[in-house]
Amino acid sequence: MWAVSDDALLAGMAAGDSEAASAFVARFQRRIYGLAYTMTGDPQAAEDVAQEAFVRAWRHASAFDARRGSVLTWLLTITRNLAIDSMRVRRPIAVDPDVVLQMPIVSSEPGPEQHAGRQEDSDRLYSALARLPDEQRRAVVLSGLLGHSAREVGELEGIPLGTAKTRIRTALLRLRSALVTTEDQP
Amino acid sequence: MFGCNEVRELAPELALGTLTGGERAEALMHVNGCTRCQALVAELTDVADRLPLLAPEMEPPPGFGASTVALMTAGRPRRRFRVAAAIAVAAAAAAILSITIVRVTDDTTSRPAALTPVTAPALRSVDMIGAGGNHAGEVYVAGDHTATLRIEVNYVVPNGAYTIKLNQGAGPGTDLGTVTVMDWHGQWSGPATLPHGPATVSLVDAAGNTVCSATIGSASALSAS
Repeated sequence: MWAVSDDALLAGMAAGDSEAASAFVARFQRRIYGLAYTMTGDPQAAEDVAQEAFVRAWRHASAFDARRGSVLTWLLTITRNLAIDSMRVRRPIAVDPDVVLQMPIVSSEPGPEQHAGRQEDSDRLYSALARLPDEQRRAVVLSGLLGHSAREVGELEGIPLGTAKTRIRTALLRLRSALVTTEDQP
Repeated sequence: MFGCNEVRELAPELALGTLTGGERAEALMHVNGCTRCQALVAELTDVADRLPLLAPEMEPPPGFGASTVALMTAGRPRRRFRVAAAIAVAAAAAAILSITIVRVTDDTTSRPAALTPVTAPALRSVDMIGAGGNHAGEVYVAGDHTATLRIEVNYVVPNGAYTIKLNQGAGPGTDLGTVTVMDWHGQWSGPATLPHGPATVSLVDAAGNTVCSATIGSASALSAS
């Protein structure tokens, strides 16, 4: 099953193939649970969020549009939105963005080039983040990875709302420039 | 009404999904009609969508894989998440209607004024179904003839602006408003005068195509989900 592409697995799920669903979960469960746990800080909440993300991927597999991004980013977006919803219901746990970025992003999956490609995407983004000033990096990680609003970022960092918004905005624009530059390089 | 300058300032928050309320609605209205701002938000969304790639991998609890596949193929949501979903439905209900309407009756005798609670109108939800029979979202209906609707669409409906139409039978129907779908999410709430008997709420794109719809009826005909 490792030779099957992510898109093909999703197409199998869209056709109701339970084996494709098993392979899909096995392939992505560590990434999805990892994001859910990073955002919620709670193992039970993370399990709920991760399972619901896979259920939604199963239900909406036929709606995936490859032109809008990879299967993994689609699935991570679903997970992130569910985690944000979960944090609105439960009590959110503050996570230090610097601690999150120090955790290794390890792809434990052997297999075709697509998995190596995924590691390249992470490395490229990590490098771009590393070049940001500390306060901007923290702000964009708190917002973009951990799902906090600008107001929450301001409260967590002890800065005014306007400053939080400026840091998030500047960081995201710099990341965009950095990623476009590296992707254009041969 | 936001212009390009305001939306450029807000584009990163829009892309990150952290812009809410009136600012989000105003920004989306502008983005819907401005190709330059659409392109900017799309580029920033591409960056924002990659940030979750940085989250570390973690081993889920034992049995996670098997139980997840069982849930997927059985088609029923987990009990715990149904609780959270029920809370979300309740929160949506609180957002669109007053839970209790209280009438104070003033008795001119020495007895204290009595509070006479009037129960809130019934709340029910109906699935919106899109292409291929896929679940596209929900319509929450509070009230009967004079109602408040809340529409939420997720993951199936492409980005863009859609006219919300209320139809009964083959007539042209009533336009209730516009919902803008961004980053696979869209939501709208507002008043609606519902006809007696079943009616259809549908989202129609600029080309006149119906992308998803839900059949709603009277409170006695439907039960809350």
